[in-house]
Amino acid sequence: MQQKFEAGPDNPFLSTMNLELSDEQKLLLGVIDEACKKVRPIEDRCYVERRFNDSVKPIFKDAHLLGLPVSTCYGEGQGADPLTYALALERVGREGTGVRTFFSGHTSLGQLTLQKWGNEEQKERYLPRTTTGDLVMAFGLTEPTAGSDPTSLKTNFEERGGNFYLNGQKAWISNGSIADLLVVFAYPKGSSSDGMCAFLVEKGFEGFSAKPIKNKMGLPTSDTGLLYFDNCVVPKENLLGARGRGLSIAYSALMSGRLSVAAGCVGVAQDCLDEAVRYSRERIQHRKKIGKHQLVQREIAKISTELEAARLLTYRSALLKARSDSDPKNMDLRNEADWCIAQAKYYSSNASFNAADRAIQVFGANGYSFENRPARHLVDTRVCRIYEGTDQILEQKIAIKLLGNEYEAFS
Amino acid sequence: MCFKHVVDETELKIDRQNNKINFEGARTKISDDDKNAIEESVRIKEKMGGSVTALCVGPPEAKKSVKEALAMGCDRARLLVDPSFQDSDAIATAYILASAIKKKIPRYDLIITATGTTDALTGIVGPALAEFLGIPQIAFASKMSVSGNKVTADRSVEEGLETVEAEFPVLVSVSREINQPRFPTLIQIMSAGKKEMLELNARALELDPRAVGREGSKVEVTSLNVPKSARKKVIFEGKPEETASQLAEAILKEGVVK
Repeated sequence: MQQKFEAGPDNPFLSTMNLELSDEQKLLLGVIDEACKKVRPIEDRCYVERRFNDSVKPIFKDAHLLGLPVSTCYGEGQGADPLTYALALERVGREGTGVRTFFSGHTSLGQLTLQKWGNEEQKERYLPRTTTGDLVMAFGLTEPTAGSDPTSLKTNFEERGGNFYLNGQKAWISNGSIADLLVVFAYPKGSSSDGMCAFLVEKGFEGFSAKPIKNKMGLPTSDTGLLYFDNCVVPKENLLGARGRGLSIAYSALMSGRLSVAAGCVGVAQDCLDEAVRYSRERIQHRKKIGKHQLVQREIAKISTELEAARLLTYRSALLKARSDSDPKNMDLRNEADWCIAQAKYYSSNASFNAADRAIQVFGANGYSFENRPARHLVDTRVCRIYEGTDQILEQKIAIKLLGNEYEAFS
Repeated sequence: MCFKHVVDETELKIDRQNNKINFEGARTKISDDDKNAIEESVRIKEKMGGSVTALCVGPPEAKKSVKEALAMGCDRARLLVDPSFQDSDAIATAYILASAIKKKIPRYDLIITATGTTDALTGIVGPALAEFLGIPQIAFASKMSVSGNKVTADRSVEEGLETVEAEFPVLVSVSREINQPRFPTLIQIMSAGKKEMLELNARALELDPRAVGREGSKVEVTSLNVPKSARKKVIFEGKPEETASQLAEAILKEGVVK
């Protein structure tokens, strides 16, 4: 499929793109900043002790941030637009990918998927409680043998009486073992390629269990779970969306998820830049502050430039998503947003990793310790090039939009 | 209630070479303890009824703090802004606030301020304001309640707690222990822009120019320096039991712990 819009300077959308923050956005960012300052010392301690940070939910609940982009019709939903939400996640991202990942799982993949695809009864039943943190959400797509290829899921369901019965396993699920409500994907039993459905699974449903994954390379303060479905009983009314629409629901959710990752990575890169600048102004070697050494200046320049590019790409994606959300039947607009978000996530996740790597270099030996922020960012943000779409999947997606579907590697 | 727009002290950079504080790039905010004052005002309104008017003497950029006070639940705000107000000390600031209240707020029951602000921490504005208005004042309130036309407050004093009462109108300056300030929601932030916010200058308040600014201030900050810190390099030698006692004694003497 050829792209339908002009990416160059004649693109009318670019000329109307207004990225100046409103007073309200600045005020909201002030609120988020205060909440993040409360999280930081706890996150610092949890990180070096390698344990889950259970203060994230209560602190952000107090700041009314657990339902920021959810409609005001549901509980404490605040109705924030995609750009405002992205700005919020950028700020949260500065505290660490682990803190931001909570929101990616709970809000971007969980709440927004339920809001978009749920029927009114499901939304009334669950969404209000998710906005207060009484229910934490997670998104159960990935399996031990199905990552980049969600069509090869093994989790399946049967229908008997008034219920569905799910069997299978999910892996690498953000918030997986702390979630109260999960969006879970499965094929009908006996079908491995057709009819994927999505379900709302409560942690208390018979046959469901979860446990945290240990020994991750990074994200020690964030929960990543293994989920088990052993004839898990799911009531009929918990089918999410229409039958057979599971793959569409999954891909649509990934747009929100990828945008949240992009925004969080911008925050990571910003924090790495702040740390590198601060350290360069303080550290003295060869009788002068290392900020006066040109090769240190080069590292800072590279971090800063990639950060600004990542930021603009992310903000543009958020604005495109807002336009697409307001015109959901416009598939051209949806595809444009999807493509831009893929680029934002791809670029920002790499920019954040590079920023952390360069910041460590500026810190020298002191950078090689988790007591300093760049080291934590490096191991944590590395996952951002993998989850929600690996670099390779996104490269393929970005290229195919320009080349046409006949160039698909899997066709 | 009255609050102050201040520089965020956590963003200040210390120039150790020249022993100076660098204000460049530091963001501004509502003084932390003033948020407790705003919160207490709004809680009392929510419980007892009435409305809250927020007043702030500040520069034009204080508008963002005024909006935040409105987002937290104040019903209207008055920003008292004029070039002649610059460099006003605590008494001059109290005079400006008192003039605004006398001229523009015909009736009030309760005025709430913080005990002090995170920048100057003089603790004078509240009591001075009460004096200018000729009303009683309760300082260092760590707890307060309103019943009918009476305020009852607990005051933190050196060795304990004192409970006092006063009838309206009264000024109460609150300490940080009194509450946990709320975070406004996005909806409240969006609504803040629709609430009434007026800017009042010296002319509107009919102020005596000799009583404000540098001319009207008896106290002037002549310099702001970073205290010098150096290691004392005291070494205790001897057996662990002896050196441990000596160390403990030295720490207690320094006042590091009580």
